[in-house]
Amino acid sequence: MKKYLSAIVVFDVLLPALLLGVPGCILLLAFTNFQNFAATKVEEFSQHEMRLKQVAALQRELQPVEAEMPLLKALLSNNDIEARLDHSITASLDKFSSDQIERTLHEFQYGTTAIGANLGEGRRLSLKFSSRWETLNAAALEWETRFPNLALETLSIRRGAESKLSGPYLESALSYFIITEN
Amino acid sequence: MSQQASSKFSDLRAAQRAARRQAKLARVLSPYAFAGALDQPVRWHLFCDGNRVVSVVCSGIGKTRSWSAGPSLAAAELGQPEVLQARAKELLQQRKHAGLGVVLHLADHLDQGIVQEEFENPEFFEHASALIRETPERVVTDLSGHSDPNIQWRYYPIFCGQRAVALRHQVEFLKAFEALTDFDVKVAIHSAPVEMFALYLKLCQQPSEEKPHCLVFFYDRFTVVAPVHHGVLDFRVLPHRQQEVPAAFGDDLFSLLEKLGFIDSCVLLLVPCGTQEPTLLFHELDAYTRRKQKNADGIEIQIPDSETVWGVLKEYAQGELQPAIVQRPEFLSEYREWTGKEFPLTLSIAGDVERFSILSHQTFWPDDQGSRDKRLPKSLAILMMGLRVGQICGLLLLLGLGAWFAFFVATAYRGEALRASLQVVSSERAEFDRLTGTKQFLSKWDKILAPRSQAWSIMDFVLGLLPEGNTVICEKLEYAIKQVESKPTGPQSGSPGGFSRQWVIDGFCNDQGRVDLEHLQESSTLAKVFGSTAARLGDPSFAVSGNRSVKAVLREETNSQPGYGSKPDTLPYQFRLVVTQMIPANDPLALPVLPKPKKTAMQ
Repeated sequence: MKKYLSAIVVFDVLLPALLLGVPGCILLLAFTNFQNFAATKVEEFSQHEMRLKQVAALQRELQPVEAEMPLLKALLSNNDIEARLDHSITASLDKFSSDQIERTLHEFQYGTTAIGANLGEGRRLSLKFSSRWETLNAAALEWETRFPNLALETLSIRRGAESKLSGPYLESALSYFIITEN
Repeated sequence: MSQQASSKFSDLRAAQRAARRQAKLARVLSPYAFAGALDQPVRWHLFCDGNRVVSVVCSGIGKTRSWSAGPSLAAAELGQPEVLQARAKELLQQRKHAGLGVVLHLADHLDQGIVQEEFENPEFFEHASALIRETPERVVTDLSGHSDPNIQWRYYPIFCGQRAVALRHQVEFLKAFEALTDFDVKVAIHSAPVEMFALYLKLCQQPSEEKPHCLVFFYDRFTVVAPVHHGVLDFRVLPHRQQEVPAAFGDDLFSLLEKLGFIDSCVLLLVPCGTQEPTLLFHELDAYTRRKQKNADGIEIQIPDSETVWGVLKEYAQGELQPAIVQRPEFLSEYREWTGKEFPLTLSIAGDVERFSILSHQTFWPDDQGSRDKRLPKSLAILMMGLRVGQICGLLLLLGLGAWFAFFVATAYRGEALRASLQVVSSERAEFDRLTGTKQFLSKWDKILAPRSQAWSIMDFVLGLLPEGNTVICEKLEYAIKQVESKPTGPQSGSPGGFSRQWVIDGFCNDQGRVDLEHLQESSTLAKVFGSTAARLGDPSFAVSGNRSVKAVLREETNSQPGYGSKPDTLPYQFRLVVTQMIPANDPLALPVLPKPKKTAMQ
């Protein structure tokens, strides 16, 4: 009886448990893993489908402005900003005669803006002009339209004491903070 | 070591195979598979005295029990397994019953051994009975240690005689009968003389109480003598040793009767059990008394009448016996219902009748530990069956799990989710990331680059603020934008910051101009100026809404300094107008935090 019992334990309990248990565990593990894999895939696919819709919506939304992105990037770029600004301001001033407006200072500095800590440190541009009111206004409109990243920190305009310019003229000083991406 | 382990494994494998054969479903479900030979629905009784075989079949139990002639067999055929198997098959096919028991009633060889002194006391019968099956030499004197499965010893306690006897049967056909067990036929080997003695003890129960009896069972190869008075007093086996009667029958009988004091008065019951007439014994005894001049006047010799005996037995069996079919009274050990199940320990003839009825069912089939180990107990068979069912369930579960897994995989791959190309998903994600980045970039910079402070609009506002004409002449304009610190510690890191814009205008004015400028200190007037500027320039930074506030402070004094355009008689007042616009941190136009710009080489 003891022999039968040992044989039963070995061949009817342990061996089947091993033969059924090991593949069963492997299968169960594989099943669980595949279930997780499939769930992840389904989740990813639903996200993918959602993204497809979002992409379509974003493409529709951004289509009008996407062409301007390179311009905006270029505008906000730090690369060669001083030359570009200088060139733009000069171009604006060139539209007027020297009787109407004359630049007396053009200087770049680096430091903290007075506008506030949120803008942090960056390049600052100081300009001084002898000009008429309207000319300065028109010239400023032109370069500020070309460079919307110029934030005026201070403006000082006073009536000039003497000038080679004809008629009433003004001495003005402008200080800009140049907002850039980096 | 590995050879030992291999051998052990082989043994276990063999044991498992043997167990499997015995633990088949049909056997486990059968009520007879694990029962004894007498518990089978069909019992094939075979009587063998060495010369002839009596074959009878009994089926059913209780009132449904019926007897019929069995398959004919010669004594020599008992040793032929194929013949036995063929007959057993025939019986199983004819009867269509689930189980067959073969009961071999042996009367060919019977011998008696001398019981070891320590087991002579019949009170040790339980221990002695178990021991004699395992190691007969421990119970019977002068036996060698070598055990032959063909020779089987059994222990019989004789309580009234305060002794015990050990009887030996030589089972010549053991191998052949073992072959029957392959067909799941149950085999029992009964001692015919013990059965006969148990039967006659029942028949003589009453007379033996009144007068001493000596029962003599006259078989062809041996004679059994058993004195009985208020119980069984002894049991002697007298072998014939190739003679018709025991060689020293007279001596043995007289010595027994004299020892018991039965010579003066006793009944000598000569029971014919073989082919010879019991008168042979009578003549032998007569010759002995004359030769030895023994007084046998007190001995009353009786020979039971066969018809009378069968008549009584019929009564016991409630009239269903046909002596011509049953032939051998030994076969009536079938009727186990005649005896109780408990082994009585009372010192009386009734107790002995019960005891020997039970002992007559004692089988001489090998019953040592080794033989018992070959038989799988029903509990283990049920356990094996349960485990097999468990294995099948486990296998089905495994297959089911596999099928489910396959189905799950197939179903999953039928859906688009798993079939979608990784490349497509990745490229789409990249496009999504690009667009999201663009949107975030635009959204961020749209907010940052919203017009807050531009020279052209600042100057334009001043034109709208001051009255037209010559009532006011502006001499100087100062403008500044500053961050408003909402708390003493400054704005919270990362949150938008409010700011203020301030215009400081110095100039000259006349009375009308003074009145106009003073009006600007009224909130509604100033707000109107801001609002109209916002509308005219399309610049929301001038709009007065939400928590934004605007304020104008005018300070004026007499114009004491002559200068260009400021004649004291026409513009008698000098003024300073301070206009402040506050845009709080919760305003949409509040200054967002910029990423810190990197220092360039020029710094």
